[in-house]
Amino acid sequence: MILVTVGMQVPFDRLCKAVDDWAGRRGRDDVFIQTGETEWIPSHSEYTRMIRPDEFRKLMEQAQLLVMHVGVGSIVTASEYGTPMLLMPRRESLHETRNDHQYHAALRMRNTEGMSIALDEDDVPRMLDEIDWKKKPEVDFGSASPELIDRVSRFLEK
Amino acid sequence: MRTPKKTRLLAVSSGGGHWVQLQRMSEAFEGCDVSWVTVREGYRVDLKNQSDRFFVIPDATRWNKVGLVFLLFRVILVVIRVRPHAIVTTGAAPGLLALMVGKMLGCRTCWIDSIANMEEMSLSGRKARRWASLWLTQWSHLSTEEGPEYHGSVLQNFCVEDAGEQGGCEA
Repeated sequence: MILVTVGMQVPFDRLCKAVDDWAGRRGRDDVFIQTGETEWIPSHSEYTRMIRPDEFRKLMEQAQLLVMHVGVGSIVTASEYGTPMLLMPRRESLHETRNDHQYHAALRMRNTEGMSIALDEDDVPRMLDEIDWKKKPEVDFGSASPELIDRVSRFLEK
Repeated sequence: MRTPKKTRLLAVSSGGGHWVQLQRMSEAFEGCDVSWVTVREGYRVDLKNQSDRFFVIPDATRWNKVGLVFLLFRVILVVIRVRPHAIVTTGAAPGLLALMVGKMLGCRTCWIDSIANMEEMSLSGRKARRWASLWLTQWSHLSTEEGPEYHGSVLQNFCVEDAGEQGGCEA
């Protein structure tokens, strides 16, 4: 199953449509899209607008591929499952987010093993065709810096 | 001898990455009496200490002015109920509002800007400056003498290719 998820705030139809169109062309019936609160309805994929966190985790466990926006929450949660990811950033100019932080993050993650980065929707179908489903993402984001924990801890003791 | 009173802490965030990052700060909250405030009931399962208090408030972005007013009202109610000594937030809008309310009521306040903001402080982060007693970024290259301070991040290896130029990557 391919799980597409774009977070719970603003929809991201560009990404969802790109995957849905690809699913149609390739005759895939195993795409599930969490679309956010949008009017658009996928033609070839199962979908839900919103999803509860526990249901979301269940789907993530089942997915062989995750297609997501470049959200910290999505990526960090996904990294716990070791599932290959295809990521595409929201853009500020298209009012998909408030600034271009997702785009900057995407640029920096471009060479990470097991993560494919599509800079826009035109990249998506080709990357879906070429993706190595066996390649697990080599990301371990690590724990919080001890220095940060210490600083905030001292701040709270005062 | 009387045991010193625990710090009553309000830990606030909106959803997604903000909540993930707030959870990663929980070690720093040990020894405090923590009340969590976020935007989805479903996040309750993420709490390490299930006996902590947990409040759900509506989600709103700065694009939604009416939502923000409603949210502010709910934040004020939570702050009045918990009477925190300190507030820590990883953003975004709910955290900013909580810091404003808290600061006016004399709480110690801490803003931790999301690690997603690697090129500049977030807009809510910049607005948080005057309301935060401790104002933090998670990227060393964004820290200046006038603030924000940098003491590391909640995801030490988050990133990053070609960060060399800006010196933000510790990985």
